[in-house]
Amino acid sequence: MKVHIPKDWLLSRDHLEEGLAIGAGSPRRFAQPDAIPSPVSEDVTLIEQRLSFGRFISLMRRKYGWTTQQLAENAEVDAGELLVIENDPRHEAELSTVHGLSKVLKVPAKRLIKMAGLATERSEKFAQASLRFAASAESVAPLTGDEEEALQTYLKVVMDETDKK
Amino acid sequence: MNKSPTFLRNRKTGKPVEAEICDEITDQHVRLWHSSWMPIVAKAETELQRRGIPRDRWPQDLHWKWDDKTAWSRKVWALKRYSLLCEGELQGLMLINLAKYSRLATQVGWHIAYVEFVATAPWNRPDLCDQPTFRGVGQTLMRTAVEVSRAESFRGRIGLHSLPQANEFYQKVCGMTDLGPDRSYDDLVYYEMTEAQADSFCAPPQA
Amino acid sequence: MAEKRTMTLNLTDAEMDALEELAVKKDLNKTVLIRQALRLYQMVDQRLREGKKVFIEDEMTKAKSELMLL
Repeated sequence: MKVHIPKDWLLSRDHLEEGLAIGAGSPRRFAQPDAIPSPVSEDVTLIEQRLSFGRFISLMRRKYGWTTQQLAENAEVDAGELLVIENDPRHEAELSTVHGLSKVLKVPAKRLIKMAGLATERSEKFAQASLRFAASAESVAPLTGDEEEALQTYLKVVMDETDKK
Repeated sequence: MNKSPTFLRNRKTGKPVEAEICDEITDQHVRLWHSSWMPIVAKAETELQRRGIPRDRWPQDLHWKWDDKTAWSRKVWALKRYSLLCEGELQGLMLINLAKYSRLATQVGWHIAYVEFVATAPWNRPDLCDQPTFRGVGQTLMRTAVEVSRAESFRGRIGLHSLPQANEFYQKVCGMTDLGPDRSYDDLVYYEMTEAQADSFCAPPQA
Repeated sequence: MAEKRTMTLNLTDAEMDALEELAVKKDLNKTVLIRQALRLYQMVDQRLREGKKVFIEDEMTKAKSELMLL
């Protein structure tokens, strides 16, 4: 919506806020379970899973040599959400975003949905591979040899799980 | 996305400067927050640490993550986002909740535009710099909240929980009613503006 | 505001009476009230989709009961 604030209104009273702070809001309240999920109340394995997912997206993006913006454009998803996916394991990815990413990163959608923690079924092998992968990845560009190897190992597990279905 | 022209006052020159209110916080705004606000905030936190100020006495909004707030609020229709830009820089951010009710006895149960979060850029903050750059961000965003309330048929009623260092602004400059500390909101003081107070706040300057 | 579209809403007498009564109570016109109801509905739905529960708390006793929507 458009807002009309008369120029003379503001310029007649801006001096009133000289030297004053203006902040409002309670981050703790907003962060309680009925707003942004608190990591303490989340299933720890779900946090770990999302951590792996975020790392995976980050590494795959860097493997392609893309910025977040470029990946967002190629996948036709929201760049802001991609930033949060890569950096905040509390965030639950949008299904549409995961679908977009699956196409451009050439990972089966079903598998990526599970990696993102959006589906409940998980194999033990996949869970352990996720944990090892999350522990191995560091967020520095470009991919180091170890990161490339970790990514390939994780991808192999991901693809093997998909082929079994 | 709608953009509305407005003004801020450049404190150094004393001159009005053209600004713009957007009724959205876009990805570009989030990037601006990250690239221009956060480095200054990080420096301020380092200085606070160096001076040995206990963390619970730091300005509470220093660590607010506007990328999180923006991403999450996009999922909820009742949450509306606003950004204030001037000279190509992000000067202020605000998140409004349209699904809250008044607590004032005279209007209990009536809807208000509740300001979940509002912040000005670190270079405008008197608590972070000796010579803040722009003045008027607070009143511009509060007027925006009032106009949003009016557009929603809430007659200008707004509410918010003030950070401790901002109580004077909401009480004296905005003329809001102090409903006292709210235990369920970290004891932050809760303020509301009635329709009459909104009309008074928005009244044209006396000739 | 964003461009709007119009719809016709068929309500029973009881629903219309309830809508009118609520509109008076909430100092809103009926259209705005419906819009607010939609926002509240979506907010609750969003929480449920995230796997959260919605509770109602008695202010006096602090007793909580879950709002069973599933």
